[in-house]
This record gives sequence, C-alpha cells and structure tokens, in this order.
Amino acid sequence: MKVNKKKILQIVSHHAKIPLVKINDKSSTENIETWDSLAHIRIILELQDLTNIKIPTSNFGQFNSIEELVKKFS
Amino acid sequence: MLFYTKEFILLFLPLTLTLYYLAFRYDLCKKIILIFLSLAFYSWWNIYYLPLILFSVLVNYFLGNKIKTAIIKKKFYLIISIIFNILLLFSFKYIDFFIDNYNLLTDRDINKLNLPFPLGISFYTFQIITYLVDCYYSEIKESKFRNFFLFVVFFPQLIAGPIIKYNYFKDQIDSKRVNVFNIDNFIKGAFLFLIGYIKKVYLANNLSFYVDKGFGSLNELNAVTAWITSFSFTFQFYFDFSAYVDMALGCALMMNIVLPKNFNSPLKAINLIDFWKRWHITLTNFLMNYIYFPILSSRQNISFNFSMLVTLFIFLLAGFWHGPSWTFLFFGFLHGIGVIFNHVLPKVLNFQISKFLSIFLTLNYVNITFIFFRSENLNQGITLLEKMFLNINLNNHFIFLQKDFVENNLHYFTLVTSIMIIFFLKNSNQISLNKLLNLNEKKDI
Repeated sequence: MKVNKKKILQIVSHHAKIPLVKINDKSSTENIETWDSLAHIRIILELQDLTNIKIPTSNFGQFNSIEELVKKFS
Repeated sequence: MLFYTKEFILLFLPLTLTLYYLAFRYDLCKKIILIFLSLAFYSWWNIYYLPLILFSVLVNYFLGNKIKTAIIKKKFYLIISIIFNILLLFSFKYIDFFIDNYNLLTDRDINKLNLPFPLGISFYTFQIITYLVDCYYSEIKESKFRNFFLFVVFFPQLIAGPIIKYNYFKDQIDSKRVNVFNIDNFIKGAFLFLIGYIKKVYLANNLSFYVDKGFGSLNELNAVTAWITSFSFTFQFYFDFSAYVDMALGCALMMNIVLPKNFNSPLKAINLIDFWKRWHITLTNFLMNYIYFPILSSRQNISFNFSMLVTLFIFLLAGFWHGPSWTFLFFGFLHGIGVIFNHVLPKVLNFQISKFLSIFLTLNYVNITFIFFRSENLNQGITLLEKMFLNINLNNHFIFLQKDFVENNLHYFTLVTSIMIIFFLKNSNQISLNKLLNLNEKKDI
C-alpha cells in the first residue's frame, strides 16, 4: 500500500518537530536541522509500517529527502 | 606506496594510466591490469601483507556467494562472515592492545604477538562488510570474482577510503561511460591530484615539523605555543586527510571513475553533528547505515535516551577503529559526548547562537579532541591541555612568541596560509568536482 505525499509531509513534520508549512519538496536532512538521525529512523519505520514496503537498514540513509521518500512510498 | 612519493608520481601512476588506457576497452584485460597494479601498490610497503588480503578476498567472495544463494541459513552465513572479518581485524590490529591491558590489570606477563599490521585492513574490512550485508538483503544481483576482487583492492581507495558500496563501484567499472576516454575528467582528476599534492607536501608536511617539536617537548611550552601546537596539529591533520582524499579521488577520476565525496570543509561545521557530515563522510555513512540504524530498528519503541546510548557506542567504536589505543577511544568518547550534547541542547535551550560563534566553538572543541588523536598516551594529551589553559603568563609569552616567530617563521607563514585556505577559499569539491559528485551522490554509501 502506498501513502500520499501529504501523509509523508505530516510524518516528517511530526518526527522532525517542524511546522508542516516549513516543509516542501526540497526539504532534506541537509536543510532541516531537526531532521536528525533519530527523527530519520522514526520516519522510515512509520512509513514502512504504513505501507508494508520494507527497506534494508543499510539503505535507510538514502531516503534522506522528501523527494526520495515520495519516490519510494507514494 | 604513498600518493605523494616520487615512485608513485613518476613511475606507478604514469605506468598505470598508460596500461589502463591501452586496455580500457577490453573488460577482462582492464580489470586484470588494475588488480595486478593495485596488488603491486599494496605490496610496495611490505610483501607480507599480500597473503592476508588475498585470503580475505577469497574467503569473503565464497561467503558472499553462500549468503546470496542460501534460502534457510542466510542470516547464519551473514553472522559467520561478519565474525570472520572482525576476528581478522582483531587478530592483526587489536590483540596486542588487549594483551597489554590484560597484563596491566592482572600483573601477568603474557608475550605480545607483534603481528605485522596490514595497511588498510580497517578500511577494506568495513568495505567488505557492506558487500556481505548487501548480499544478505539481495541488493547485489551479480558479482563476478574479478569485480569483487577489484572492488576490494582498487588502489586509489584501498589504504584510507573512501569506503564505497559494491554496486556503486560495479555500476561504474562496468558502464560504457568508463570505456570512453574523457579528457575533461582526466584534467579534473589531474588537477585534483595536484591540489592534494600541494596540501600534503607544502602544508601538512611543513606543519608537522612544529607539531612534532611541540609534542616532543611539552614541558617547554607555554600557553601561547601550546595553543599554536594544538591548532597546528588540527590543520596538519585536516590537510593530511583532505590531501589524501583529493589524491584518491583525482587518481580514480583520471581513469574516469568517480569516487564519492569524503571531505567537505569540516572545520566550518556549526556543531559536532555537522562536523561528522563533513569529515570522513563515507565512514559516518557506514556507521549510520550498517550499525546505528540496524541497532535502533531492532527495537519496538525507540526512546531518545536509547538512541543517545547507541550514539555514544558508535563513537567509541569509531574512535577505537582508528587505532588500538586508549587515546583513540577517548577521542571517540569526546566526539560521542559532543554529539549527544548537540542533540540535548535544543531540548533545554530555546535560543540559537550565531553561526560565527557556533563555528568558533565547534572548531575549538574539535581542536581539543584532536590533541588526543595525536598524543602517544592520555597523559601527554592532558599535559598539553594543562599548558594551554593553566600555563598563562602574558609578559613572558610576548617575548617568547617573538623569539618563536623568528625561529619558526616558515611555520607561522604556513599556519596563516592554512587558515586562509580552510576558512576563506572554496574547497576542492567546489572547485572541480561538484557537478560530478552530485550526479553520483544518491548512490553514495
């Protein structure tokens, strides 16, 4: 099952503790300081649970932007 | 063989490039040439290192295939293969450290093994582990022996990284793009190599004379010269590593192979988290993807405290990975504490400090941690810190500094040049590689 882009943005907003309006397609771990390693793993695990799409832990680091998350989960 | 030596620049590199470009359109021939030359490069220091890396290649290729083809015992083979690699690393790099400390604790006198320390073993062990884990997750569809062999021994990154993934390397070495001579990449590679050479020979090596003198006579230092010694080492270490990365990327690029970015102006970092995104980038990525994420994702609920505990563990491991000594462990500990502090601070304080102040504070913290990286033992590091913070007598210092300046004017010139380059100039990536690296960034380890 896939999720829509809005849901992905909400999940990132929740775990990175950043207002939804401050997130856009260009957002990534590079430009959102609070999207740290702990927030990142929580985001990936929640998206995996919701979609049942499994990613090897060794590839978690690749999905470090909204663009990559949308490509994979949406 | 080191990249900046005469034998590498005048003999090995021209010979390699000539043979490579004579054979680069013939897949098997090209790879065999690169494998043989890489082994020659590796054996140059000590031919006795060679059997171990060959043994490691053979066993790991066999284990990788077992992991890939196994249906029931996939995890079993993965665990066995990781234990094999850790044991190999432990036996050659760490066993004497543990014997030493065991003797100290129990008052015994067990003889050390004094095994030769095979160069690059820490790097190729981590790189092989990425291969094995990727085999386990069925990320690797095809692995011809020659591709795996070259992936492990490819000379530009064999001794000190960058640590790359098998697919990242294989996709390039097998691509049609590599079979075309690209003059643009060749020139960029040569230019990058030259930048690295200048950093190493004219900056790092010059700084090292003062650093060696300072660390060799700590009791003669006062606060000013102690600070200059510590910062000189920080800049020396910066240029040593940065030069190595430039030369490694430059060599590979001359053969049309793009290695991932591994260094990105780390002394401009605004905090320790940022520092590790810029310093030894592929090591950080390895630790995150192959240790941190797997440990955390094995838990149902990931608490903040648990994640910080894992962070500290990772940094202790990273410190110890650099060498079998308490100083490296303490270096890792200081960085772990620093990163945890950066995670906790926003939860406690509700204001941001200026970027300039953030960089200044981070630079000074990193400078203090690097003292332990350079020190032969913890006492030496603590002595230098005492000199920096406690041995203050401003009147004498001014006279001493004048004398020191006259005696070591070349060092002061190098120090000022270093500061200008580190903080005010574009880095090598920005100058020559950005476009290329951005193309490959998504595939970075």
